[in-house]
Amino acid sequence: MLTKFETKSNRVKGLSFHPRRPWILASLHSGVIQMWDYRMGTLLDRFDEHDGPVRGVHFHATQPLFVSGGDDYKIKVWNYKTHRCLFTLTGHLDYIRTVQFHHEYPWIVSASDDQTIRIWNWQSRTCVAVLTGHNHYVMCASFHPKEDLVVSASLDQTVRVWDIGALRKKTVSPADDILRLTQMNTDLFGGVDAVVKYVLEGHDRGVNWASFHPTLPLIVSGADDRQVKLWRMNGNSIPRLGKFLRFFEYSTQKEVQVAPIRRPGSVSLNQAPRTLSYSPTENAVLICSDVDGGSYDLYIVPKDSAGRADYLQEAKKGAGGSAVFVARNRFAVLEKSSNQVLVKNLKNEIVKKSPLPIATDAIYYAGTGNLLCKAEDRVTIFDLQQRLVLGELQSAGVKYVVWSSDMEYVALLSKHAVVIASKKLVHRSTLHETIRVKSGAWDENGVFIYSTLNHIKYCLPNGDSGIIKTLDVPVYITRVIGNNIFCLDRDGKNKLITVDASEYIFKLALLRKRYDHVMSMIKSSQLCGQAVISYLQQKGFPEVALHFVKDEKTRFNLALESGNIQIAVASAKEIDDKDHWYRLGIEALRQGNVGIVEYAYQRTKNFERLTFLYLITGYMDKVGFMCKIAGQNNNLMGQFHNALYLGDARKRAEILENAGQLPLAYVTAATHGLTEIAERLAAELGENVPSLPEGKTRSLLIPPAPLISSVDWPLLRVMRGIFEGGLDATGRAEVEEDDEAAGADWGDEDLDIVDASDAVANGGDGFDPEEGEANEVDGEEGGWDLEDLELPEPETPKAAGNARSTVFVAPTPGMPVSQIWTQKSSLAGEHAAAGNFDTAMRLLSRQLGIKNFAPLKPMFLDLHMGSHSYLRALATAPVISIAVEKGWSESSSPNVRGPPSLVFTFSQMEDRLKAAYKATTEGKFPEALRQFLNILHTIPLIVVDSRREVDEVKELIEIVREYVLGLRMELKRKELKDNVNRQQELAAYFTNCKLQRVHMRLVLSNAMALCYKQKNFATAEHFARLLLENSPNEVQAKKARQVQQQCNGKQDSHELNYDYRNPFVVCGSTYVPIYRGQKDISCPYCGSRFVPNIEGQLCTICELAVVGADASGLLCSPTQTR
Amino acid sequence: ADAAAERDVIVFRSYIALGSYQQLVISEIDSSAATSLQAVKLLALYLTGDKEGAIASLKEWLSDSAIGSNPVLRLIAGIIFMHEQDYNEALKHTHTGGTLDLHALNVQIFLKMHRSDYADKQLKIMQQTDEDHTLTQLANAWLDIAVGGSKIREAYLIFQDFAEKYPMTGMVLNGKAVCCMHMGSFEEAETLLLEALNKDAKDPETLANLIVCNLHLGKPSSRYFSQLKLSHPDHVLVKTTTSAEGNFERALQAVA
Repeated sequence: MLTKFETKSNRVKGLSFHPRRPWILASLHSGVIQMWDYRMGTLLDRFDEHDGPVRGVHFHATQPLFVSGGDDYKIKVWNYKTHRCLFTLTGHLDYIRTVQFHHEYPWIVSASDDQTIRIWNWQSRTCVAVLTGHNHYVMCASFHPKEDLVVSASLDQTVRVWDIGALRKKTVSPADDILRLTQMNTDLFGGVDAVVKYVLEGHDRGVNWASFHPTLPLIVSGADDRQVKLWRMNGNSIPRLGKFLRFFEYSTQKEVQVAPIRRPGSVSLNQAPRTLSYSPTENAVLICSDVDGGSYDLYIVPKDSAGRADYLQEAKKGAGGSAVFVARNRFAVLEKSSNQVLVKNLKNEIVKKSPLPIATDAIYYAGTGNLLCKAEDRVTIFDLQQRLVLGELQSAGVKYVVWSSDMEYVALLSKHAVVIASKKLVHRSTLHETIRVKSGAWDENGVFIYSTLNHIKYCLPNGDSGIIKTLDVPVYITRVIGNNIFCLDRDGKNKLITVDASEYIFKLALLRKRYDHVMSMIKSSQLCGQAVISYLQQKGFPEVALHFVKDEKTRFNLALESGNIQIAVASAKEIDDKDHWYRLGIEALRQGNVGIVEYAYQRTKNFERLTFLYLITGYMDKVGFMCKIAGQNNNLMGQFHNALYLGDARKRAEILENAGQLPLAYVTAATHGLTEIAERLAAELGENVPSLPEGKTRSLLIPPAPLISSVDWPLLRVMRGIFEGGLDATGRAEVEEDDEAAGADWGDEDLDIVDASDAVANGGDGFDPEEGEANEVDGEEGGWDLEDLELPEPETPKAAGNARSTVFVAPTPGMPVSQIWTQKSSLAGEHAAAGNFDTAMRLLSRQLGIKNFAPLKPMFLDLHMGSHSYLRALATAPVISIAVEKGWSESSSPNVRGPPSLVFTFSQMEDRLKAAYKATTEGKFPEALRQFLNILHTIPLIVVDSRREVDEVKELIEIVREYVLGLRMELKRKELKDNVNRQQELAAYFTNCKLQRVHMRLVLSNAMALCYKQKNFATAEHFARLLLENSPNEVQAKKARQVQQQCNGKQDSHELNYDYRNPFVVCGSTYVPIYRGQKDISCPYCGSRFVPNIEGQLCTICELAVVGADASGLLCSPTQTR
Repeated sequence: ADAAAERDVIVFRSYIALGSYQQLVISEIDSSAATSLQAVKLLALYLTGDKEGAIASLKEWLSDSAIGSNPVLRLIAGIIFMHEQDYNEALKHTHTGGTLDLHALNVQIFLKMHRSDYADKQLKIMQQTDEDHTLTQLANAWLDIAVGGSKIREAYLIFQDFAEKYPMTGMVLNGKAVCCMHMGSFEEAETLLLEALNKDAKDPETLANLIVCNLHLGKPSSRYFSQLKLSHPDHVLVKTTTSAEGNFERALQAVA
């Protein structure tokens, strides 16, 4: 305590610091307000006008004012310079607890025991808002330092946050005076300008104080429950659940606000929605909250109303611990009291009830028809249909459940752990975090991406995890697509974070042994860091790591670790120090690669080891050589050893002699029967000749010969994966060859080992038959059950007759859809589809004069065949055929039959026409003719929807007819060999058909050439002119011009029945021109023209109708009869 | 014991559905077996071709008041008379229902009779019994397809649910494909049917629906037709097509 202030009697009820000066106001129980200088410790002034205790006091931020509120229900505003009370605000109906100036606006907020908070304008000296809602004394109220908010605390155990934005807008607008007019209303009906934004419930006793954090969106509150609570103002526990339900389309990243979530009465933080479950097919959303001890709201969002927030459907509500969709149109609601789930449909009706296997706190989706039930210490997957527990896992405190997209894996998130399990809840891995796990999602590759308070991390299927990104603020991951992580921030805004996924993708590829991916990633590599190398080393992939590393020492280590001796040798050569050679030697010895051991020993001049190596590998000549070297180096001991190894007694004696050890030399010689040396040495030694032991048998010490000599021991093949192949090729070919050679030598041995393991496997198989027998025994037991069952049956008392058969009258069969089709329709195609071929034929005959139906047979059959689909219902019962109708739409009413969907459509005809054109262009005339005829034969059975299309069909008939005529004439022309005049005529008539330009040009060129050759110059010139009018290509144009030049003014030399000046049509049968004015007769279907004497014959163009027959005309659309 | 008998009925019915009549069903069920199994054996006999014999025994048993009300016997009766296209006779034995199987069969019979109103009543009963039962869902889908319109989408979703919950079977794929065809998406139907064909190249419904689908797509279908004709000469599609050819000739005569 810095300073203690003496106030004569009374308790201090309120205090306020001056914003700048060292002053403090103290309001006292006695009604006096004192102003102190706290540096000097002196009383500056006292203000005594309140009647009774003054609880609230507050300095103005800028002006020489302060405000006080007392138990006399009065608020007084004072000027401390003039020592006067400026005015008194009245309105409160009970004690005033706190008063506070607004930092900017001329407002005072006051809290009172009358359960209201009031906002006053001290310039106009009026009350501008009454904030009602608390239902006990309001203990404090204060403005937010920046935002248009007020926080209040009350003995009703709540803290409320009020939005006064509307009030501010009014104040800022010039219509200030209106406020005064509406004051009465406001007083009476409660402020409309201030609405409660949050109700913070959580204290168990009255709340005495609440205050905003000056900068962060936090509120602190203290209450009689002896707790201080810190509230986050913007954050609901799940931020995605704001006030509105929104759809976010990941592909387009568009967000659509769908519907406001209806809040019960007042909005409370702790009652905010907690979980959400969505059924995409039905566009239905379940939102669960803790309101009323746990409840859910079911919203069905109309599909086409996206973006139309005006159309709101009332939510269907229900009580329950948690609710979650278990199928497209079923959701399960947890009933905690009875520990069962209610399965409901979208009408919110209970379909089924099922008791749960464990005491469940919450339920989650677990695939269609399954539920994941969460208890305190474990989770289970429960099949609602079979009522079976499919899997169980011990996992405490699970908060969120995230399924992989293929539903094969599930991630269970608890406060500090992530557990990955299979769909049957078989544990895969557990990750512990020291800080809170927030959210997670699976990526397409089966990597789980999750966020903690400050990181985004990954978890591979084997449980390896790592950090992807560090976060400044927490995010809630909603989905992961490739490198893109979609998430929500604390404000519920959608964010997209793009990350570098290569690290975990690489690790995943390794894990899955997708070495090709690993390879390509290494090759294009960006990820060659120490971390990756140590990861590879740890995870048992040193051979992979090997290919990243440039540093020779690391390479050497990795090579040793992965047993890749060849690379180790190469590195050792580079490094060339003793330690590395030594280690190489050890590894090579371990592997039994003698050559390299030798090499390593040689490099380090480790003669002792080298000699011993030679000895044990049987290189006795090399041991001899080593012996010499030792001699040269004056290494007597070594030399002697080597001589021992060699079993060379003479040498030993010689060495000993040379070393001056004559007695030893003598003993050696004498023992091994080297008498001459022994004698010579004896002579030299004289009387110092040592005596040899008596009665001992002598033997020559010769080391046993090695079983395998001079070669490496059997080597296991070094794993040579894709890496050797792929990476070594890029510069280490030489090493590779060595390796190959080593392997080849030992191929046979390798095989032996494999055989041995096979044998073991076979041994294992031997047990199986017994198991099989055991099963058979079981089966027999089942069989006995059956016989038991059979016994009682004959004794069943006889029932009184078979009542069923007599009473029941089966309904009369209804009308098949195909029959409905024919009743409604006079379209031949629909009758054919229905299988009513005779009526179809009659219709065609009447409408189009068709008499020859043979060409239509395949069309009839196809139409009929394609009219029904086949649905297998009960397996052994007959299949149901179902009429395929046309014009389905999402909104078609059931039970209203549509017309048949015909297998021939107009659009198909257009495609066929194109094909026929193509054949024509290519000069495949018979083929083209066949295709055009096919179109012509199908059209009578076509049905189109609109009148416009009817006209198109008619047009199509005309087009096709012209081609059929033309092609027939062309084919006829080719048959004629000698009659050149007729040939020219037919060619000329072809040009009279209405054709596509591309075809017309060809036909004209043809006719032109033909006539020119036959010296019918005038006609040829005519064709040349026509050709030029038809935008020919260069070659054609050039030819046409040449012909024009050559023919200019010349006459025809033969007379043709072709007068182009006189309009004509060509008879479809006789191929003669029918000039205008001459009589003709036409085909009632295709409209081809004929000379009159053809009447009554079959039309040679369409082959269907009779020329000149009576017909009502083409009917190919229901619109024509309406 | 009841459960075991029920299980055996299902097992033997499955054998029949797989087309193994003789070895696995007829020779396995001896005269001492329970009525329900005898009934299943009758179906096998009927389907192997002994129609008269099977129907004679069936009628005899049905008139036996001791066993005539056995639900499996009645189910088999319904199936056999349905094959005989004697829907009245079939319904005589099945209309009282009692098991989901029987009601499902009733749905089917009524659909065959083009009385979806009656089928709907049967379905309602099934839904009251167990709305989420596979058979109820299936029957729902059948009815939805039969009444058409917006219901087709619901049928599709039911099959889709099956597809999600169980391994894809030819039946589910065909169900989805039929829905697609009725919704006018023949391309999607074709994809589904080709998948079904992969699973069973001789499945009659797959072949039949592929033929229909290809016709609508303007693709050649004769390959599937000859396959169907070869493996299932009795299939409705083969029969109707054969009779359609006769119809055509007769119609020619009539019109001429």
